[in-house]
Amino acid sequence: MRYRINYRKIASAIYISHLDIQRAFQRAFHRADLPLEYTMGFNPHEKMSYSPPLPLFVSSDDEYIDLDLAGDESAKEIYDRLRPQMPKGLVLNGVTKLLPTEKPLSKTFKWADYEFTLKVDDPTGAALETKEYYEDDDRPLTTTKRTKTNKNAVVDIRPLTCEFDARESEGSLIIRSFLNMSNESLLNPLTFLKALQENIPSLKDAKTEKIHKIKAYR
Amino acid sequence: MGDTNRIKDILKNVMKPSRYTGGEFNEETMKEGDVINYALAFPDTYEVGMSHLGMKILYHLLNGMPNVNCERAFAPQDDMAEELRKHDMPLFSLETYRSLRDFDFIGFSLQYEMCMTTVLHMLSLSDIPFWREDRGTDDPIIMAGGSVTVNPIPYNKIFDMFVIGEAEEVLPELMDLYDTDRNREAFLKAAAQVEGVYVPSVHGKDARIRRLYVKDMDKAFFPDKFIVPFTEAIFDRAAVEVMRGCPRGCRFCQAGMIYRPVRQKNVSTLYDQAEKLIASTGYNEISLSSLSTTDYMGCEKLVNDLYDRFASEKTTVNLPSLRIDAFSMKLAKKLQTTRTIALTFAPEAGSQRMRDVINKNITEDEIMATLSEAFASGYNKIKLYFMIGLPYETDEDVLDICRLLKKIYYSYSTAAQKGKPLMLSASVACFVPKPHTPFEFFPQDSAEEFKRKIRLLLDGVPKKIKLSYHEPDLSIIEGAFARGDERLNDVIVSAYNKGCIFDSWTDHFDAGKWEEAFKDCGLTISEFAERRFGYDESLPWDIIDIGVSKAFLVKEAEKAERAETTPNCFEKCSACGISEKDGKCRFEIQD
Ligand code: SF4
Repeated sequence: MRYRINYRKIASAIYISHLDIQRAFQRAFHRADLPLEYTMGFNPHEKMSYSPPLPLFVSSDDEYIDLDLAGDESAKEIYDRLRPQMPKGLVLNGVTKLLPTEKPLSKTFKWADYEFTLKVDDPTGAALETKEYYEDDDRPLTTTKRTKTNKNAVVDIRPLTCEFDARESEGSLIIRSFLNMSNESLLNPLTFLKALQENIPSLKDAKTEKIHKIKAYR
Repeated sequence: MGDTNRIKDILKNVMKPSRYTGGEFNEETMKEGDVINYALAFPDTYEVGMSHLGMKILYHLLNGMPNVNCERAFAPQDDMAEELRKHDMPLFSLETYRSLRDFDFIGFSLQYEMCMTTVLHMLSLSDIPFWREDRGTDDPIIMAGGSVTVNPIPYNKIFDMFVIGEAEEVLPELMDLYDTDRNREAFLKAAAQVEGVYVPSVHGKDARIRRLYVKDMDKAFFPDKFIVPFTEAIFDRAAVEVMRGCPRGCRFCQAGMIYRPVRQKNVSTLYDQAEKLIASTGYNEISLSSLSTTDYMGCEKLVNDLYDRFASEKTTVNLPSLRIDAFSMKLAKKLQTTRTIALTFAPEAGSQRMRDVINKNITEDEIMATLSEAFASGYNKIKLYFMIGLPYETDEDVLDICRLLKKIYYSYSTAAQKGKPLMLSASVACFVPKPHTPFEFFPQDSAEEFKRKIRLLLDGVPKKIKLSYHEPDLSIIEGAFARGDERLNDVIVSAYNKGCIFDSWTDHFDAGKWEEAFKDCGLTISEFAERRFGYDESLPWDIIDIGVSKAFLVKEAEKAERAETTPNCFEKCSACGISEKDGKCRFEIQD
């Protein structure tokens, strides 16, 4: 049976790398004594897959892991066994049983709703300028990122974003945007932020306080 | 609680930040109220310190006390240290992000001589004076334990107190003693009366401090959980300690002397401990740890029991130290499903005469038989450990290492092993005479002599055999400290002030700075490292009564000169002195 585990990555867990998160989950599954299924071959490992890696220092309320288990336990049973085995900052939201027709994680989500909290001198002014800039399609919003084939590939982030908003709140500048989360054109929140900062003058010296993923959408 | 917001800021600028945040699974919850705060400090990186079994034992032992909170602290990497300094922040503990300054105790675990500048680094980052004389009522009590402290004299102006031997025997008692009035001065005076405790400000030169050791390993405290690090530690596995001490009595080996007598746990105790650890950590590897696990009398039964219990869960069992014998090979073959990992053995010397000098009771025939068995079972990666610069060593003995390596290399037939070529590597250590061993009297080779011998090896071994060796310039400083005296306290501070830190990491070690540090104190490395002591001369570390008698050490040194061997403790007792004090050594294990 395949189960989908939904969890939050918060507090000091934002300092844990994606690879270390995978290991932390493997250990938690072992502690919970789940009937794990293993891959064949010389180096058998647990059959599990993950939603796209979250960069370090980014928190999230909506992360996923798919896990294959032998047997047919209820999702609640799996949840109850796993919950006490979770390390601090990795918090279970829930476990669901997947139908065989369910698409794999990598093909499931299209958009991720992100919130960026930035420190700038004039948050109200910066919010206004940021919004105006974003909404004016004639002004560039490109940056470079490292890809497998190109160290300095140019990306235009506008088509990879939607539902963009910028506002002031409690002395900080809050930018909220949907970022593309599909496998082919995944937009890393750090790349997004880099593009904004490189193009919008009032964000140039902004200090990032918090990057938080609120929800993943299909 | 420390200033978490500022800590958050600096964590964004360092590599692998989760090393500094704590919060791992099985981290202990800190008690509320006015408890004693004990910082367990390891003068190396998180990854190294978190792999150390002694740290795990003490951490959970102390936190089990109602009146103590024990937190962890490690040496920050360079990037983190720089951030701390830049932001004027102190080194903080992992549990509550509290400055080490604010603890009642900082207990350092000293596992190798070259960690001392890192100790100073941690004190400096915590704004604590290096010299015990400069510390006062508001400063924490700085404690040291671990194998280095069997000669505490080179560090006795730095630490306030030393616990000699196995600290779990006395730490709870010391905590309760401190709890009576929590007064630094009064406590140090009272602690000096406790067995196994050395307090330099109280004890004179002719004090005798008896080493502490656990008498009954089955009853000794052992944690049923380990903290599970997020980042990969050097050893990320459930380690159960099958025995303390080693029955062999190799003459160069300090551990073989200072952890006497051999104390074994019952198979059922170990099975139980392994089961609990696997359940509480989720690790998929059990390591049977000790100085010489295949000598443990219940080894085969334990291995079989654990194998039967865990094989279906994909949890593996491993033996960290293999002897070169048929029994070890048999176990290795059972436990390792793949033959791709390297088998490691330690013949230590190339010639039979030399192996007899050091009492490594193993013959060349046994070595060859074991390796041919390994080849026949499909192993093609072999790593061998040797040592040069041993007492009574001649160039012929050194060249015999080449001869043995070649003999092994050419005994392997690639054709017979389905075309898999042999990958043979040899790691050569520079001998360091250690206190409380039969070789404590002997001078160490000079760095030049070591380098000349390494040349002999490099010239004598075909390129196909991979040869690596320890840094002679580092080994001689280790040698100077191992058998050093009070004058070396100044050298450590001087070296630290010149920028020495993490000296056991080759990328940090700077021989030139150390040489200068000795010179600035009017000393040389060689006057310590190359010193020969008479058998009846008084030694700086005589202040420590390790349990093994001087007479035994001298007898062993004399036998070394005649290349005579001594049987191991399981075969025949050699009356090393331990038994006189604590009755007959008992090795039998029940089940
Ligand atoms: S007293 Fe005998 S058996 Fe016990 S440790 Fe010493 S030599 Fe070994």
